[in-house]
Amino acid sequence: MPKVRIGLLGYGNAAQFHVPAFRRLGPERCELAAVCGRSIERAEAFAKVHGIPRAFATMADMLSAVELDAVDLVVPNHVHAEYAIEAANAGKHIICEKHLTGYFGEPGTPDDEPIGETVPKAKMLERVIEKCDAIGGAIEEAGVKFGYAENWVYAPSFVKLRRLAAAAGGTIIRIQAEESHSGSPSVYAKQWRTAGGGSLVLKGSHPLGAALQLKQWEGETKFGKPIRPSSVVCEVGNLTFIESVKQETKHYIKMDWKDVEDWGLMVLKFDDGSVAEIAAGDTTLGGVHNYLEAYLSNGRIRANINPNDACVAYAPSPEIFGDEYITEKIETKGGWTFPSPEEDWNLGYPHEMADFVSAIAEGREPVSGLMLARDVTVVLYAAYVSAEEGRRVDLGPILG
Amino acid sequence: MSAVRVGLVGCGFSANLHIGGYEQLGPERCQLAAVCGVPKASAEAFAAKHSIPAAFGGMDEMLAGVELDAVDLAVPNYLHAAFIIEAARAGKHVFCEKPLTGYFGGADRPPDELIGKTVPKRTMLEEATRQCAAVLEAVEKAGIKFGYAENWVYAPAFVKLWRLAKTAGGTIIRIEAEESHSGSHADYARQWRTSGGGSLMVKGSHPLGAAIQLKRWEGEEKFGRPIRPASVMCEVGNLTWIEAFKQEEAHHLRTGWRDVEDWGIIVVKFEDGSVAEVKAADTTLGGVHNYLEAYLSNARIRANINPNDSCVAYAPEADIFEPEYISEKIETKGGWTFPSPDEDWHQGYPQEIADFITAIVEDREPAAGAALAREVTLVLYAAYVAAEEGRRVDLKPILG
Repeated sequence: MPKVRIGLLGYGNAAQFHVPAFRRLGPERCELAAVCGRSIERAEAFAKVHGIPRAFATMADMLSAVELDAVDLVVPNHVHAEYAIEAANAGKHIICEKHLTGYFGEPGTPDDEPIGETVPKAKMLERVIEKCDAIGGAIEEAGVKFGYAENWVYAPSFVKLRRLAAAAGGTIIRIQAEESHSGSPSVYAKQWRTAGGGSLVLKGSHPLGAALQLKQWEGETKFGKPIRPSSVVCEVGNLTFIESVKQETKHYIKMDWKDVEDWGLMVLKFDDGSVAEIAAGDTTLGGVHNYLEAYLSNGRIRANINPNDACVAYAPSPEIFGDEYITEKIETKGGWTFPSPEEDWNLGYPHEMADFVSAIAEGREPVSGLMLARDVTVVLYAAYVSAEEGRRVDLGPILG
Repeated sequence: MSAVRVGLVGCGFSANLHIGGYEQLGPERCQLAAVCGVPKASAEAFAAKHSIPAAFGGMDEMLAGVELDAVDLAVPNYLHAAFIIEAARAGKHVFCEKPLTGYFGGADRPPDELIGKTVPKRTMLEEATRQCAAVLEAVEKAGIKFGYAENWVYAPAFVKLWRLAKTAGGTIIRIEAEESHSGSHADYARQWRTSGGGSLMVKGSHPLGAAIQLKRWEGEEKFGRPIRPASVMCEVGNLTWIEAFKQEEAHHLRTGWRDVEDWGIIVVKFEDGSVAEVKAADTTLGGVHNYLEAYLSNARIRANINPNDSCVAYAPEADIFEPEYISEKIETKGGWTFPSPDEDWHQGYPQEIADFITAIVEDREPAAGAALAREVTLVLYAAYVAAEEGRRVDLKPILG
C-alpha cells in the first residue's frame, strides 16, 4: 500500500491532537511532510516540536514546494470552505475537522455584530447551502477523497454499537444522543461571528453526525441507498439567561454567551419514518456527557462514549487524586468519578485518521465523508430556522 | 381522628394498584367501605377477594347506600370528568387516576371512528379545556379535596431529587424525563376513542406531570407562586409503521396501533426560560424505562424510578429465575437484569394514597392536586396541536 504524504494546514488545538493520531499509523503508512499557517514562526516552531521537515506561511507555498497527497485542514471553521476548494483544485485529498462550513457573516460584517440576533436563520441556511454546493462541486470535479473528521463515527463504543446493530438486523426506529458539558471556556464559542452557532453547532454536530451516519449506513447495508433525514423540529434556549441563574452569586456553569444558544434539542424524522432526538448543552454539570442510544425493533444498544464505567473511582476529598487526569470538564475530583482510561481512544481520534489514510491509500471513500459533512451542516442550520420560526422544517428540498 | 371511608369506583387494573396502598395505611386511618363496578358481579367478586363490606353496580347506588368520605375513581379515562363532577356534587373527596380528562369523541360520533385521524387536534384541545374547566369548577364549588393520582410525584427517588434540589437551591434550568416500554397490552390503549391519545397521553403524562410539579414546587419555594409552562413544541410518530419494521417476521414490540402515536417528544419552555424534554414511547425494549433528571445551575440529580440498580441479577438462561418477578415489561429474564425489589413502592403507589388520605384528615391540599391535573391535560393536548400543525404553541392563552 502506498504511503500517504500529508500537509497540515494550521498549528492550533486540533493540529495538536491530529499529529499523534497520524504518528500512531507509523512512517510506512503516513508521512507528515509539511505544516503551514499564517505565522511562519509558529509554523516553524510547530514543525520542530513535532519533527515535521518543512514549514510554510501559506497553503499555496506548501502545495507548490512539497509533493503531497492530502492536506489536513485544522484551521478555524470559517475558513474551511475556501481552503477545501483551494486544496481540491490543486488535486489534493482533504481531511477536514468539523464543521464543513457555516454562517459567520458577510464580507464586511463588523466583527462585533451579534449576527445570531440580527441575521434571519433562513438567510444563513441559504448561504450555507451555497457554500456546501461550492465545496462539493470542487471535490467532485477534482475526484479527490474528502474525510470528514467526525470522531464519533469512529469512537470504539459507537462502532461496536453499529456492529451489534448489523448482527441484530432489526430496524433502527429511534436514536437518542447528546453531547453536553458545563460550557466552552473560549471566547470564540460564545459569539456567532466566530463560532457559526451555539451549543447545537459546537456540540450537537457530534451526536447529529453519528445519528445521520448510522441511518446512512443502515440504508446502504439493507437497501443499497442511504436513509436520509426528512424533517426537523428544534427548540433552543439560553438557560444561563434565566433571571434567577443570573442572580446567583457563584456560577458553576460558563456564563456570558453573546448571541448563541447554550442549550438546544433537535428532533429529526428520517425518510423511513424513524426518528432521532439530539440534545446539546453548555449547561450540564458532571463532566462531558457523550452518548448515543439506538432503539432497534429487536435490540437496544447504548454507546457511552464519555462517561462510562471502564474505570470508577472515589475520593473523600478532591485533592486526593492530585494532578492525575480524570475526565474532560469535570468540576471536582471529589466523590465518585469515572476517570477516562484514554480519552482520545474513547473519542475515536486515532481511528478516524487511520480510516482517512487507508481510504486515500486504497482509493475508497472514508466511512465519514462528504455527504455526511454536508447533511450535518444543512440539518443544523435548518434546525435553527425551525427554532426561530417555531415550525417544522421539511428537509427534502434542501438536502436534495 | 376517625378513619376516612373510601368507596372504590372500578375494579380493574388501577383498582388493584390502589388497594395495597389503602391496606398499608391500616383500618384506623382508612376503611375501604364499598366498591362499585359494571357488571355488579365483578364488583362483588372484587369485594369478596379484598374483604370490602359492600358492592354495587354503579356509583350513584354506592353513594346512596353507604356513608363515604371519598371516592377513588379507578375507571377508564373517558369517564373521569363525569364521575368527578357527580362525586363532587355529592360532597365526596375525589381521588382520580391520571389523566384528569381528554378528548374521546363524544356520543355523537360512531364508536369505531378513528378520531385520532379525523378530528383536528385543535378541536380536541378546545373540548379538553371545557372539560377541565367544568371539573375544576365542580371541585371548587363543593369545597372537596381532589387528589391527582400522579404516582411519579410521590415516587421516593423523585421526592429525594426534590429534597436535594431544594437544599442545593440552584435554579432548575433543564429537566429530562421519559416513560417508555415495549407497548401497552390493553386494546383500549391503541385507539384514541378509548385512550384519548397515544404514548404521550398514556405514558408521557407521568414524566410531564413530575416535570411540571417540580417547577411548581421550585416557584412556590422561591417566589411564593408556581413557575408555569409557557410554550410547547412536539413531534409524534408511529415507529411500528416503518415499512422495514412491518416486513420483519418476529415482532418484539407491540403492534396494532390504530390512530394513536407509539412515540412522542414534548419540549416545554417554562415562563422563567427553563426547559423540559419529555419523552414517551411504546417502542422501547428492555423493560419499563422511567426516569427524570434535573439539571440545576449548581447540581445535577437523576431519579431512576425504574430500572435502577438497587438489585442486579444475571442468569445464563432465561428460565433460571422463574417464576420470580423481575420488572415490568422485561422481555427476557436471561442475561443481566435489574429486578425491582418492590415496584409499587418505587413507583410511589402507597405514598400517593397515604398523602390523599392524610390531606383529607388534615384538611390540606394533596401534593398532586387539581391544578397539576389540569395543566398536564392541557399541555398534552397543546402538544398534539404543535405536532399536527408543525409549529410552537403558546400556552399562556390556554393555561390562563
